[in-house]
Amino acid sequence: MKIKARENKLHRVNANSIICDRASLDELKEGKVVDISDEAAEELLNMGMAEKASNNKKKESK
Amino acid sequence: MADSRVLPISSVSYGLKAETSFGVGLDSSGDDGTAYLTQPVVQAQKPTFNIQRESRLLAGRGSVKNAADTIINARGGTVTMPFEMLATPRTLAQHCLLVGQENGQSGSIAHEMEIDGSSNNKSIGGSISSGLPHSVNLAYYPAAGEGIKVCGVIVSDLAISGDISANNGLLSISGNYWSGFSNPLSTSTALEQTFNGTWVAREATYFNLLDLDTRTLDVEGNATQTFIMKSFNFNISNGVNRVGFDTNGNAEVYVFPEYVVTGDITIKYDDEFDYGAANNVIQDFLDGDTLSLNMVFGASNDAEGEATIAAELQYTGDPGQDISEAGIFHTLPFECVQNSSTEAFKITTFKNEAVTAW
Repeated sequence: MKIKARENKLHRVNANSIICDRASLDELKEGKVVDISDEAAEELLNMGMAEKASNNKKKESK
Repeated sequence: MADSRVLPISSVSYGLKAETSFGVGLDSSGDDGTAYLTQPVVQAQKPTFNIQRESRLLAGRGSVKNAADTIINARGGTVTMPFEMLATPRTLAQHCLLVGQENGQSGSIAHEMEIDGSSNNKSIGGSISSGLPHSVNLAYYPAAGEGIKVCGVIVSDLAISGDISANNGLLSISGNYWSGFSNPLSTSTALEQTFNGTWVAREATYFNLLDLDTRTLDVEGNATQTFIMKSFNFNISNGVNRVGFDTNGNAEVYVFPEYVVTGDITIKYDDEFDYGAANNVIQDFLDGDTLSLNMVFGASNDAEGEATIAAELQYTGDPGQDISEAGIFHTLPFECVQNSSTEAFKITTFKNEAVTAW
C-alpha cells in the first residue's frame, strides 16, 4: 500500500515499535510516498501518522 | 539451605482488561487466558488488601493476646494499588475513563472525558454495555501460580502531570486503583493465579510537552492569552465509596459523591501575565475570576500523541513565584469549576480503539 506521512505527526513514532522498516520510515519523514506492506501501512494509518497516497497518475495529454 | 530465587522488580508486570460484568472475572476457568493490556510502568506495585482484622486481649488470657482471639473478615473491604507511568494514548484515555466514568467519542476515534456535574456516573454496579460504565480486571503477575487478580477495579484518583524539565518533557499519569471486591473467590478477585493469555504489548507513543502547540489562559480583561509554561498538574478524584454487599461480602455498588479537579500551572511572568492592569494574576485571585485554560498537544486530535485539555479555573491561593535563571514564573494553584455550560474539566485523546477493546 502506498502511503505518505501526515505533516507534523510522524515525529512521535518510535521507530523501534512499528512494523515499517527504517529505510521506509526515513523516506516518509522526508515527505516521500512509500509503498510498504499493507500491515505496516495500516498500523501507521491507524495511528493517524500517515495517509493513503493517491494511485492516480496524470493522463498524458495527446 | 535457603532458596536462591530472586525476583527482580522488572520481572513483575500488570495488565488491565475491561469487565463485561461488574466485579466478575473475565476468565475464571482456572488459568486466566485473558489478553490483558500491559501497562507501561517502571515498577509494578502490589495490590493491597484493606480488610478488617481485630485482635483482642480477652479477660482471663493473662498478659498476652491469644491466637484464638483474632477476628479476620475479608468481606466488606477494599483493594488498592498505586500506579505511575508515562501516559500513552490508550492509558491516558482509559485511566481518564476509569476515574471520570464518562466517555464521549468523535471521529475515528477521539475519546472525550468531561467533568461537568451531570454526565459522570454517580454510581456504578449495574449492567455494563460496550465497556460503560468502565471497570476492569487487574492482573498483577510476578510469576506463574503467584498472580493476583483484582476485579471491579476503577481509579479513585488520577494525577495528570507535565513538566518541561522532568521525564524528558513527557506527560505522566499516576494515581490509585480501587476495588470493593476484597474477598477472594473463584469467580472474582483471586490469589495464586496463573495468567497464560497473550497480553497486549505496551504502546510506544507518548505525549510530549513540546507538542503543546496551543496554550492559552484567560487573565483579567483579556481572554485566551498565550502563555509560556514550565509545568502543570491536574488531580482528579471521584471520592468513591463502596455500598452494600453481595452474598460473598463484595460491593454491590460504587458511589461517586463528588468529582473534584484541582491542580496548578506554572507560567512565565511576562507582558500577558503580570501584576499590571488587565493582566494581573493576583487580581484574578482576589476577584475570584473564572478563567478558561486550553492546552492542545498537536493540532486536531486525529493522531496518537495528540490531546486537548480544557478547564475552567478559579485560583485557590495567591500566585506563588517560581524563581530561576529563566526569570520569574507564576505558580497558579486552582480548582476546576463548572462555568454555566462550559465543563469544569474536559480532556480529549486520540486512540483509534473502541472502549470494548480496553
